[in-house]
Amino acid sequence: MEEEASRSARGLLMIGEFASLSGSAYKKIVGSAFLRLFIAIIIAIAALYLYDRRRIQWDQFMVEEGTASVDESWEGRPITAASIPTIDELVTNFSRNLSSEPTNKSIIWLGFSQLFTINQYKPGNHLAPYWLIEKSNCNGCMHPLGIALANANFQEYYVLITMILKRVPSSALSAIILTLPFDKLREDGLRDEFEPLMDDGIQTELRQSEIGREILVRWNQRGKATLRDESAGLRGFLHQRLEDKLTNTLSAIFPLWADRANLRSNVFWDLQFLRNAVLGIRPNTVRKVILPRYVRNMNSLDALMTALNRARIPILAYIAPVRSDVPTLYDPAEYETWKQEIGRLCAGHGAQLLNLETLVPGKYWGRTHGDWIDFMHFQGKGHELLAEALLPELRRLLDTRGGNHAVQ
Amino acid sequence: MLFNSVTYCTFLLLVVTAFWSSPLKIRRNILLVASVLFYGSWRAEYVFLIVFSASVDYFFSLQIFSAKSTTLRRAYLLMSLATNLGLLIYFKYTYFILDNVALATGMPAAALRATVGDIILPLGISFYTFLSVSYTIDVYRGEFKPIRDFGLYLTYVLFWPHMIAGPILRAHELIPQLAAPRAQRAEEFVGGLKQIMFGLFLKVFLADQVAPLVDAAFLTPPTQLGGLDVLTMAFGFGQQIYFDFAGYSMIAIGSARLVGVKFPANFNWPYLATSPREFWRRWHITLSSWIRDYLYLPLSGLREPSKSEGGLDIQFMPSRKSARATVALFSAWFIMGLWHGASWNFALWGLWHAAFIFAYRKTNRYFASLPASLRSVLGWGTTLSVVMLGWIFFRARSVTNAIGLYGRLFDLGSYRHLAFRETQYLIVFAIMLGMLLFRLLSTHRFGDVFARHGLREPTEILLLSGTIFVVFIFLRPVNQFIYFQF
Repeated sequence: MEEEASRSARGLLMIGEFASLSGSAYKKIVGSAFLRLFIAIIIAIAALYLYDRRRIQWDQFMVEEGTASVDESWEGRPITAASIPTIDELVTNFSRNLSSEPTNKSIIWLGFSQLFTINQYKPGNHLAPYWLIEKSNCNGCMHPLGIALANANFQEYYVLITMILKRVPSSALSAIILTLPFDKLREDGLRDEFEPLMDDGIQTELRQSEIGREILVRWNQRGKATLRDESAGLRGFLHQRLEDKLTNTLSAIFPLWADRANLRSNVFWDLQFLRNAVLGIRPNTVRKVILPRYVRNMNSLDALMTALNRARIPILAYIAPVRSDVPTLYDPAEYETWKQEIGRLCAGHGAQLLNLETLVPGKYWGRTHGDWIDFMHFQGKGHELLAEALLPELRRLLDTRGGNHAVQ
Repeated sequence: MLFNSVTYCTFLLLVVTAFWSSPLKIRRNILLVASVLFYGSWRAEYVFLIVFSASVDYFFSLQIFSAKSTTLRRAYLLMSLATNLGLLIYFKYTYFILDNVALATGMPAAALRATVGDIILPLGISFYTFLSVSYTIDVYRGEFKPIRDFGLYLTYVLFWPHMIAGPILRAHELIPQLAAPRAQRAEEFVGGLKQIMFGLFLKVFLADQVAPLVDAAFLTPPTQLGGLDVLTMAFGFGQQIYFDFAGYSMIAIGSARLVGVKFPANFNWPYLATSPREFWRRWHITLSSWIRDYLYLPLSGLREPSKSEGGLDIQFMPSRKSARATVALFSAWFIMGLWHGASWNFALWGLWHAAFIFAYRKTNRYFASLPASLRSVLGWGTTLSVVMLGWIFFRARSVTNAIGLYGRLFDLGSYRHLAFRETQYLIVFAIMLGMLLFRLLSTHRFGDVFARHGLREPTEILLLSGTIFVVFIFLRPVNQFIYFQF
């Protein structure tokens, strides 16, 4: 018993000694400036490796969870494009093939992600441009080109139309379909990916309108922090090439360095999550109009329609379908005012306007994922309904205004 | 070379290694070669311009020192000043002068500009001109004996941590340190690294992330903005320029520490100032100290020993000289404004501050009876608002643009609409709040609490690892430093 007690006491003594030893070691470590820096570096590297494990798919985020981005084609030829390089290619090919298919009714369908995504995609689902060809029953005589960008605003629409009118003879275009979503009026300016399109020809064309000049000023003075040019601040410095070389070398030997874009995405994702959590922002939180952006976008739409009028290309515009089985994320008064303004604008430019906001029933929209409600992207059936709703108006428009050949 | 680049990190590593592993007598040469490389990485040919300017000052300062008559000394000083200021005026203000001539005469500005061809503003010319001017004036005043070592003088002018955008050090503060580098202590070395790291954090994570928002906002026509938007823009730019320049200064100070050279602090929580006097004692301290010693005091007819610390801390102002002091105040700030940039915007920004200091002097005594804490809070709120609103002159595209923006503040109806995404207001607010909280937590009172619970070192380690984490992710030279354009 006594021996056991003395063993326990010795044990306690040893623990005490160890504790005091670790205490002094701890003091030594934290007392040294170099060691503190070293520990901080180790912690930072470990945290970076852990943080880099998460991959954020921004494309997926842009079009909501459960929504698939679809590339549509007809008879083996692409008829939709959802990024600047593919739009560039689609328009170039279309322009090149014009002489071989003079009888087709070519229609540009301009839109945002709704045009190229299908919620809960199933085999056999197609995008609306496909259904437009299919349901026109004229053996492919109608040739729509679905051109869309995620979150496209009307300033981007305007630049895209300017580019198309510059490359494609207006006589080759039978009509333009314009998708008009209210929430994209909160977006602003051109994304950096527009760089290859912004040649002198397009810039000269844009300078013809006041809003075009404003878009150009903002484009030319935009922040240099583009995805493509990480060393933009070194423009004009002799060592810019050295910087690029060093960065590439670091990327080659240190994978974490090469993966910094993912790390940055993670930071922005978390900051956004933090903001939403702190301020209680939810997907259905009402988004108010941002006046200067609204004005710039509406002026762009006006300039776009003016350019199409000048080129004598008929316009079919429609107010984009929105989810109506859950409370809307628009301010009702602002939405109503906008619809009236759109009505006046279309009437002023002789454009046909359809209000399709309630076209797609609730059951054809996406599932809700907890807090995530997809307001903008419907299922395959929604695309079919959209094509069906547009087709009669499109036929009427082509027959009465600009069409050379009646659609059967 | 930009501090926020991999090239600079590599450069610093190589220079510091070479410096400490070399014999004492060649260390100074390493600094000179490194400085030439640093500046030459922008445009090699402009190194010759600086060498020329430095040669002139070196020669004239020796002549000033050896000249027997005051007239001759003054003549040498004027020749030196004329060379330095002539170069500055040519490179920085020619277009500005021609544009104003065009405006006055109705001639086309482009045609006038064409007569002088393309003028490229040499990087850091405003800063190294101030260095040179202070050197010759100090020699003229007899405060400093000119050195008889051109290499050392050139190292003083070209020393890379301060030559492009400060801190602006006087010859007697820097030359002795360059002539005889101190032995390095581990704490100093680690301290330098930490300062570089925190400086990079301010630049790459805060300034560079706020910059695109501010840039886009200032492109918006004033008619499309509301009062709250203009306030947000002013505060946003105030934050951007502070993080950008304070970050730059921290990297400069840290880099100098790595080679055993001590620089004075250039910023000290300027947005916590409770009066304009205090603000200029906390903001760009070495510049305001320079303005004090070489512009404001001489214009006021007063004199103080030359030093790059203390900022514009002038409270003695004999009443008999009050008219002269007022003229000196407005003149000094007007010139200081124009020094920042060749545009009337900057001159107006300088005058804005002069007017604020003047108003403070005239009204300060009426608040003396208020309780100290209330006076501090009122002073802080007023100073912060005036300083932030002053940035509109600094950042606006033109005087007309600035006036348009100020006009929006008085349109009460405009406060109902927001011109930017909600996040932009939130970011500006959160940064302001974050700055205040950080300052509060880093005060002695909280520091003592941390120390008492053995938390100071772990907190420091965590803070440092967080900083390294963020700098690693965001370090890229996407933007230059704002003060590079001056």
